Amino acid sequence: MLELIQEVKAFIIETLDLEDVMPADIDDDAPLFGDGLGLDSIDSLELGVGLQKRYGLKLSAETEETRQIFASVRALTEYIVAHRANLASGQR
Amino acid sequence: MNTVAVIPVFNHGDAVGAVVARLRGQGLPVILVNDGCNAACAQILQTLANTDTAAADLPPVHLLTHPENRGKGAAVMTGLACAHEQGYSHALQVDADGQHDLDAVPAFLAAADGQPEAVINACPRYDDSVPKGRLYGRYLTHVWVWINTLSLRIPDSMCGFRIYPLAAVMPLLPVLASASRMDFDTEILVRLDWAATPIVNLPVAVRYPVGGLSHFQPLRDNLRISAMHTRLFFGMLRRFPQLLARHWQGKEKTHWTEIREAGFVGGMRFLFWVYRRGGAWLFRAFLFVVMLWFFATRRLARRASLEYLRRLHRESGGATPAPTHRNSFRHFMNFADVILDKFLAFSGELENIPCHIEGRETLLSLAREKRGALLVTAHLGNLELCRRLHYSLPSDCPPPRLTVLVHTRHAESFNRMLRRLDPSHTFDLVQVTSFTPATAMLLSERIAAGGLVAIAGDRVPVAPGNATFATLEHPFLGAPAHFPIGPYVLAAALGCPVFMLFSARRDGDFFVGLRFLAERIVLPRRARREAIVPYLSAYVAALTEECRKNPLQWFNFFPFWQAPEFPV
Repeated sequence: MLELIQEVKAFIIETLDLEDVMPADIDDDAPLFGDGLGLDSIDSLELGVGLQKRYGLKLSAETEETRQIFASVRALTEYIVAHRANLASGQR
Repeated sequence: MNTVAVIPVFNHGDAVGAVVARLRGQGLPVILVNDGCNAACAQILQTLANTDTAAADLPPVHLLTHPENRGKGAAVMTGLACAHEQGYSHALQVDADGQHDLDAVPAFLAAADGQPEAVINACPRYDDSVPKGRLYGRYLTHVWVWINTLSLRIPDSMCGFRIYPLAAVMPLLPVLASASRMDFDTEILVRLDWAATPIVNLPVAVRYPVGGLSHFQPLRDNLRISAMHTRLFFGMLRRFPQLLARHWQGKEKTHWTEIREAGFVGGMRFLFWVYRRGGAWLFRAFLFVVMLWFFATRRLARRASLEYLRRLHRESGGATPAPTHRNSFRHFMNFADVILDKFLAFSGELENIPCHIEGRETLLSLAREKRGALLVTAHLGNLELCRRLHYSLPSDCPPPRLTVLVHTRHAESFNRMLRRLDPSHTFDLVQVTSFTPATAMLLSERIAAGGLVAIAGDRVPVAPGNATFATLEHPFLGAPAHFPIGPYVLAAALGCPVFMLFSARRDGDFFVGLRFLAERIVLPRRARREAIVPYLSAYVAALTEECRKNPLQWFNFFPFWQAPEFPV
């Protein structure tokens, strides 16, 4: 899990081309958008596309669910883990 | 059931006596309404009322008087209100001029007795005395009534001979106040039908009496009747879901829930039905009336059209239509034609119209390589023609899936209809007002699978506080206008090739153009807006060129050169 959190942070920095930001600068629990990391809605689109390409994520159009998933790096990582588990059980 | 005859009278002195006598002879009391008759006629009516006491074994005659002529509808309504007050349950409306064959009365009474909640309506059988012009005029009204009730429940609404259940009629009298003249007969039936009052139709023979007096004034009454149809048409639009539901309830019960949640789709289907039943001419006639109404009542849209025409006229050095009201209405009608074309496209009837496709090779190579792309479109011409791009591909090349981003809340309903009309389903609408990372994921998946995603470059969706939908000011037709940056931001996020897609109809043929915009749009984080400018410039230049070529086919009927207001 910890490992994946680091990976997700690096992925965010890379996808959004965040200069001057190191993985260590991102708080696991701080909000990604708005006050926390300060990402805007354009970033959210790029992040969405990136997550689809890299992790095969797919969300329903439900805005509340989206808000929860993007609440923090930790929430996002947990969602990726759950998504993988889902896939694995689906393949079995 | 106790029934009274109601006879509106306006100078029909010669005939009314016989009518009253026949009715009383059949056991019906009579309410006469003197609608401002001349002295001679008023005298005759007074005499008829006085004979009431003389003939004790006959049903009574009651006389009501309008001091001034207020019209047939007003007279009938006065009579109906009085009948209700006097405790009658039903009223038989009869014309005073003796044109209705009163032999039909017993059949009408029997029908009302058998179904007391229903209106017993007359379907006239004419003899040769009827002027042909009136007959054709009637047909137009029939069609309107069928449209406005979405049914054929009322084959003929203009015969002033029918039995009303007063309980159903009384609540309608206030809304019928404006239908005071010849428009009354039709309007009351349509409104009764809307209120789900059953309608029973019985034949009645009608003749135009020799030397008979008709008060139908062609110009005044036709105008009134047109106004009534328009009024009822909008009333029908409001009642769409219920009316359609009734239509289907009898036949396919499963439609009910679907219709209820999606009156919009019902509206579209209804238009389709009009087209199917009546053909292109009826559809156009229908749209003409609707467009005339819009043109007259939507000041903002009319002004926007005029502003656009004025700017384009100046920009083109006078080569495009001048900003006159006539041209502006043509602009509106062009929009109506696009609606017609959409239906033709759905029904596959546009296949035979030549379609000139610019950029077919590009599309072919995208399809063959299964490369997805973003298409920036405009509210120009008819984007339904996107489908023609697909059809133009050779049969061994599977068409790419097309996803169209729209700003309407009806996207889902519309999708369902598309699926119904176009089962092959290579066409998909996604609503952008809820643009989220989820949408981005969906689009990314579609692009990765070789699909095409279309988004309009000339309309700004209203989405508060969402920078994706922010705009960039760019000169267009001589003044700065606000264009959405959404398409370029999305293109950058998706990292796919970007094309512009325009369509138009010229001289009967279709033109669809697919033009290259960028292999990939890159927006550096620190200077995104600046980086968008060259792409936006290229789009605006292409749009300007298209507007000059198809001046009446750019459809943004709102103040385009005004900064959009975002609700906070």
